[in-house]
Order: sequence, then structure tokens, then C-alpha cells
Amino acid sequence: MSFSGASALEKRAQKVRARVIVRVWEYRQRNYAMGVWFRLRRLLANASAAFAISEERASRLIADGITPVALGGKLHPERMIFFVTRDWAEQLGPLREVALHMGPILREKHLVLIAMDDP
Amino acid sequence: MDFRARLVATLKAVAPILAEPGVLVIGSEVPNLLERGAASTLVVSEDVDLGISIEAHARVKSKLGDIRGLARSSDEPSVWVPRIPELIEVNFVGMDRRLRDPGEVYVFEDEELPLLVFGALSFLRPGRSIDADGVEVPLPRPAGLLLEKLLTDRSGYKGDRDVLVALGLLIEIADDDLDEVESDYATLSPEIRYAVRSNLTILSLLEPVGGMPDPRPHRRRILELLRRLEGREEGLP
Repeated sequence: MSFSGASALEKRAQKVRARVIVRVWEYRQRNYAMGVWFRLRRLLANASAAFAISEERASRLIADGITPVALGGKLHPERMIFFVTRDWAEQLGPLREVALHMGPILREKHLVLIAMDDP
Repeated sequence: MDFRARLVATLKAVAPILAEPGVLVIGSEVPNLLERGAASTLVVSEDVDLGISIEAHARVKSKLGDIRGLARSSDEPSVWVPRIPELIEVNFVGMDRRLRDPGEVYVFEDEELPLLVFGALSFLRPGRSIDADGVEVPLPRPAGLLLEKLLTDRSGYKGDRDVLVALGLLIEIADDDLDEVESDYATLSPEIRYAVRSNLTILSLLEPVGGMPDPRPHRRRILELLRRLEGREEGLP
């Protein structure tokens, strides 16, 4: 094998090994700050739809006994994220739907999510 | 010439290699080939990966001279590049069943056909062959390939592409295959299981990419798989 050929493959192998080290580190960090992103994605994976709500509406949901998910408080700035039934969401009046992708979700401070299991 | 025609022409060009036991077409083209009539509408990537088991290396090497229309790249010795525009690139990668750690990787040195051997490919087992316009194409069992793609390390576009290939497989495969995914998953180390679940959550939230399967209509299926895998975990909330 030519030197450059061997070196190209070895370089790729080293990159893979380096990523394995990162993976192990990420796993160790799962209960700390790094793990928040996974837990947020996991939460959102459960949702079939997300809607932005105002701060006032968020306060009203809390007054009605709906507890925001604790994970929202771990984000900076904090977010208030509620799971509600589709019926409940409809009672909140016209809502702005937010695409279930990380970028649009993180732009909102107050969100209601509809569970995938909600008929 | 459309992509499917180029893919099939490339498979024809490497047919003598594909005929060797221990060779599998792996990677992003598999979901395309699993479609009815190898329709190739799902994932467009401009290369074909050939998985070569280490035991088959000598036999494959003896057939390299039978490849038509492709030539070994001078920069990347395990890559064969098209000499005519009707073909796409072919990558040779090594599979070694003795590797147990999916993170393990080594260079199988050889003057003519060196291979980068990936531990994650040890999940791949021979599955069914399909007929693509007269070429018999050996494919891996989808479960192993799905898991291998979910082990991907996300680094930009390549990582997204891998999880979208996983989606392409998830759309196509049967529930029996999911049982196999689950039992293979249970054999992995905790950090790799975590990486698999993490990649499923990423897949669930990915924005659509042109020429690739759209995750949005399949989010329920992704969640079902995630839940099945979580069922194998102790101590998850």
C-alpha cells in the first residue's frame, strides 16, 4: 500500500476512535447538563404536536392544576412546557403551532405539547 | 440517466464481487434496494458501500480485475471511482465478526485492497438477496443494519444521513426484524445503548432533507421503537 493510502485510512480510523471517546464521555454526562438535551428530545419524541402559548395562558394552566414538566426549569432561559390533552388545547382558543424540531421549539418560552398517545 | 439507473449500473459493474460469499451491499443504498423493484426513491447518496468480510478478502481481491468502469482512487485506496458518468463511487469496507466492540476500528493492510474494518459492522449478518435488473444483490438482515446506523456518531450531515438511512430501514422492515433489533440492542454496552436511543430522539425531531425519507410521518414508529428499547432498560423513568 502506498504511504498516502495507508495514512488516509489510518487517519479515518483515528477519527472514529476519537468519536468513541466522546460517546463514552457523553454517556457519563447524561445526568448532568449535557444530558438535558437528550431528555428534552426524548420528551418531544412523545409529542404529536406543539403549540406556543402566552405567559398569561401558562399561568392560567398552572392555576388550573396543570404542572409544567420539570425539565423546562433546567433550560436556560427556563421554559414552561405542559402536556395537555387535545381537548384541553382546543379550549385554550386559537394557538400557534410550532414545528417539532429543536430550533423552533427552543425559540419559545411557553409551550403546550399534545401526547402522541392522545387520540 | 436517473439515480436508480446509475445505482443498478454500478451494481452490475461490481457483480463479480457481489457473487462472492462474505460480500454484502451495506449502507445508505440498502433502503433503496429494499423498495419494491429496488425503486431507489428514498435515500440518494452518490456511493455504494460494499462490506467485505475479512475471510472473503483474498477471494474479493482476486476478482478486482473483473470490475468494469471503475478504478481505484489514488487518494483513498479502499474507494473505487467511476471512470464513466453512468456509474457511482464504490467504497470497500471491512467486516470482522471477531470484533465485539462497535467502537473498535482497525486498518486491514493490503497493497491492493486495504480496508477500514469497523466493529459496528459486526452486527451485519447476511440476509436475503434481491434481483436488481438481473444482478443478484446480497443484502444484510435489516435489523443489524438498522442498529449499525443508529450507532452513528453525529457529526453534521453524515450523522443526519445515517439516522435517515435508519429511518429508511425502519419504514421498510417487518415487526420480526424489530424483535431482532431489540435482542441485538440488549447485548450492547450501556453507553452504546444510550447513543442508539439518543439518535432515535434526534431522528424524531429532524427536519426533512431533500432526497431523503421525511421523518415527520413516521414519528410514531420511531417512538414505538424507542419505547421497545427502553423496555430493555432498568431504572428508566
